[in-house]
Amino acid sequence: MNILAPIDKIDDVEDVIKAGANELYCGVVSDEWLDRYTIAAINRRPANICNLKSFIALKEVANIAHSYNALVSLTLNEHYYTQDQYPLLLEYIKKAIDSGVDSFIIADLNLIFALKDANIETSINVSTGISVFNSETVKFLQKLGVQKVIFDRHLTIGEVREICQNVTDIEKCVFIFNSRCPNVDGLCTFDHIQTAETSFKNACMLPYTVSLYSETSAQKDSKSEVIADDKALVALKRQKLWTRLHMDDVPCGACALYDFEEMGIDCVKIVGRGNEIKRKINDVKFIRMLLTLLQDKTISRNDYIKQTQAFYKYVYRLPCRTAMCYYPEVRSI
Amino acid sequence: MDEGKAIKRALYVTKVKNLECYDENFSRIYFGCEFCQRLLPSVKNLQQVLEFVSEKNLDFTFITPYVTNDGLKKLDALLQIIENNNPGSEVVFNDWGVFNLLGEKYKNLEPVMGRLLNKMKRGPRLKDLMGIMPQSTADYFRTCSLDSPLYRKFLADNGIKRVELDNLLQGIDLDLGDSAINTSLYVPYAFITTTRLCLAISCDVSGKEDEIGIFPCKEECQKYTFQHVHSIMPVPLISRGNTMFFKNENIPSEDILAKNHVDRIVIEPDVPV
Repeated sequence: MNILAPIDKIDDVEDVIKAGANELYCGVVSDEWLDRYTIAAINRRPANICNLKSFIALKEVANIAHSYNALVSLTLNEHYYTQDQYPLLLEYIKKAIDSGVDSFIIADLNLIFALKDANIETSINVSTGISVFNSETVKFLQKLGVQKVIFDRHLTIGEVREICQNVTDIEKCVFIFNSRCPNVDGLCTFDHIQTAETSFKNACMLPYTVSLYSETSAQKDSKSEVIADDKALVALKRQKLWTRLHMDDVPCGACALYDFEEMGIDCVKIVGRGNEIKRKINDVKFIRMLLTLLQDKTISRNDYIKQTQAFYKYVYRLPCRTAMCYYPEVRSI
Repeated sequence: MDEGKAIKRALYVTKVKNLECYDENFSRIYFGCEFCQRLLPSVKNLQQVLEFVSEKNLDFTFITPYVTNDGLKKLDALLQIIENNNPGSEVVFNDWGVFNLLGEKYKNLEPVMGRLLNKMKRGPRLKDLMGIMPQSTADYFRTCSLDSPLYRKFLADNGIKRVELDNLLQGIDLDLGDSAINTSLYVPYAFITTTRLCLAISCDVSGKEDEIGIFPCKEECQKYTFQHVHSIMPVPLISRGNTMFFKNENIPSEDILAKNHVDRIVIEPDVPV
């Protein structure tokens, strides 16, 4: 099983590969794009810190990665691009191909059509932004010539297994570490603006004032309010879960690696464009160590999970928490 | 779209009891759920709605959510009933797997691309930013892939003649060229985001406030609806079950509707979860 890991600087490449990554993904900021489209990002990470600064840097990244037999994917994973953006987008794609990238990570069906139309044969990896929840979606994407699918985060281990049993001849990738998005990535239409202004942080985690809703209470200037009983008060607290917790407080799905190995998952994805290099290395090493542990075919599922949980506590100094567990059902299977 | 063609009205119900909102101004019933496969209607409820539709001589649209393989199986059984009893009905798909199933198996049902798949940004913060963005950026947020001839060709080649739209706070300005695609506009609830880590599951059970996952539920979503207010959001956010909405009752002018090929308004009498 490969590890797909993020990089955002040339200096990251060797370190992340040596830590155990076989595939890298990254984005490139283009000044022309930023000038024209500002917060309408090209890859859902408009901030400089999350991106390589040029195609020259991308070429160097590809050269280093290829010298270690590692692959490089470029993120073109905005949920949609408009006709107005295509001339610039296709120019950008040509520069990326000239830089030596191995594949594109894509979330917009129309971009797949556009690549085919332009006779571009670079491998297409479908991002979680296309929302793959079932085997029929995989079959649909196969007809479009897709080589790899990254499944949606919001699938249980059993649901992933069922898809794997029903599809062949396509690479399958699942999320394993960081950013447990509260919402379905491909069906979330909140803006992904990255700014220092706190009100423009992720809209899913803002400190909202929450109350019970009714048509009457929603009328402008209404004085009427739905009175919450004890149960409703608990429910109101639950609604603020993503204000109390941060989706990036080291969420992890490593206990599920045992099952993913068994069902033939090809690749696991670590999120983290923009993270410090120390963190990137740590995360890759953590997952690589567990994959190495799985090479011992005599290890039982229970023993593997126990060791994984102990290792997580040791490395991250944090207990396992349901809210930060990608596959919390793992303990009850 | 034909110039001057009257705009039709459809009533969107997620529950049989909401059929009481029907009046003679509606020519079509939408029934189903877009957001959660656990809320797919029972066979009995589907048949009740089909009977209502037949009695009143109305058109019918079945509306479907994003689904896992398990959801696909349940949906398959419902689609069979619709094809047998009401061939020619529309099916709104919000999942490319459902679209694939329709194409492979249900040639007598009309596929309609759902509002979850046009991907237009709905975060209400955008509304107040529109005036300070470069025009090219503002234009981006009022349209989507539909303005690409390649995308429209894909839709046409696959028998998709209709696309569903939300009533965005920042406005809609599609360039559909001379295509025959028609669109429907949902009013008043526009979806913003949806999740399978549903915050309604066991939401009123003390001690579980910080647990989140794809766990069994008791359809707590049918008991609670919440309003989320923050100074940066120009409108309150409304959440029911696994989905968040905003409310926009301001229907655009006839000219804007015509420019965007809107020939149908889909009225949601209740938050559609």
